[in-house]
Amino acid sequence: MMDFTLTDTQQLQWQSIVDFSRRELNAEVREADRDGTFPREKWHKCAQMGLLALLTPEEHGGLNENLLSSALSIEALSYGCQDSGLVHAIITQLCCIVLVKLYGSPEQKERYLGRLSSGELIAAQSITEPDAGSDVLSMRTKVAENGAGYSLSGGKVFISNGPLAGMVIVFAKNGAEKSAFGGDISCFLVDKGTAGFSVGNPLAKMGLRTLQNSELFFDDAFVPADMMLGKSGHGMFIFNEAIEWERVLMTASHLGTMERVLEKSVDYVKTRKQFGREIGKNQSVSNKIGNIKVNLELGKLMLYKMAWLKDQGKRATLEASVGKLFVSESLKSACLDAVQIHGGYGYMQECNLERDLRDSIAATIYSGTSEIQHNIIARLLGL
Amino acid sequence: MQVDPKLIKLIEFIKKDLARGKGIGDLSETDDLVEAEVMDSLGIMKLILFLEENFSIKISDDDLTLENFRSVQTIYSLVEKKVKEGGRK
Repeated sequence: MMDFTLTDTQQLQWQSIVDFSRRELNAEVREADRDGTFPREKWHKCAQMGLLALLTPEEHGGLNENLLSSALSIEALSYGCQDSGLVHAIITQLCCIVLVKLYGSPEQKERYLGRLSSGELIAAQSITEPDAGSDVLSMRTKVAENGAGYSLSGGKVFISNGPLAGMVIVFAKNGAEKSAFGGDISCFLVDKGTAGFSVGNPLAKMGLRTLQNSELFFDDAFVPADMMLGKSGHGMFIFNEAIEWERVLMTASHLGTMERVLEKSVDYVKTRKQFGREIGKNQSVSNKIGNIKVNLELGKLMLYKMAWLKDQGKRATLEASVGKLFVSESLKSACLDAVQIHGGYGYMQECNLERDLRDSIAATIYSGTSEIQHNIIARLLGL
Repeated sequence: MQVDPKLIKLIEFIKKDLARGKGIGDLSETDDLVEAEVMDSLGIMKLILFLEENFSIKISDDDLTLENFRSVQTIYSLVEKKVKEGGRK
């Protein structure tokens, strides 16, 4: 039997996060977006609210929530908070926490989970390279055994939280040209300050400007053997697991934004009058609103299924691609429609919708482009 | 000698879903799948999903070794071992 009712705890948590976000996170978002600055004070407020500790085990100071409840919290955060860059930074942190939780040694968990969950330490996961975006296996960052550890050489690009990170999860490939499981990719925890590891300047972007992205450089950076995350050669599987969690949490944030955009649009078309009547009475306008609602409701069903599968310890490869593709494209479409519905006002920065639209473009690019999601779905169908 | 139908199903899956279009003719149970570049990153995920769904087993991280996935024969040995251990855990 299916039950779509949220528990009392989930409902209370949803509302408290929405209230918190509206109260604490929405001041000066336009200015931060304009200047491309990371809202560190708000980051710490989110940490105090427990938003960085959603998935952390209790013994490391976390709330130990399942993915469904965590996704609902992120949905609520994104609904209440107008700064999608901040939400993205939080999701990146959560994904790093999940990787350490799932694959870390007891010592690694002890060393990182508490500080990551309190917000004291910011983390990034670095996969993408100049010539290895969707085609992860063509990554060129190399790992070589070096005495009591490993040497990393190569570079990463577009890394979210990169300029702020005190610890970076790095995926690197050994020299083997032909091997199983994704070219023998391994995963490492690299601390800021490691000799041979450096970080580029924050990159200027079209949207998500408060999120800090940069290049990372590894020039024979030495990593002790006990800083390998998981087992040697298991990087591809760690990546596949990470990407499923990421797609669930990103989908949750997109749905929160869609709900906010929908609500704003409904309010507007009920008050804006032209030719003597509310513009929402015109079907060309109300159809757009209806489509956003349809996509929002369908997206929520997909999100809850994705999160439920992961909470059951099952794989959600297909579902994560379907959900990510559908919801990210729906978000982009919803933001574009919302700007159109608001007319000249929607085009103005003051309305905040143009920022949501700019932010939404990235949603169909990061965590696997829409084109790649189509490819994955087709391959999983045996095409 | 009667061939296990599950083994036939596994070979068919690898032929039709993983090796298709890669210029691989007849696939024997002992052919080196890694050497033949049959599996890419998504291919291995497809194979794991196939094994878990069709044999009611759970492939753990510890199972993910090159030796377990080198050939149809080694994959099938892994499946048999997991089934004997009690299937999905």
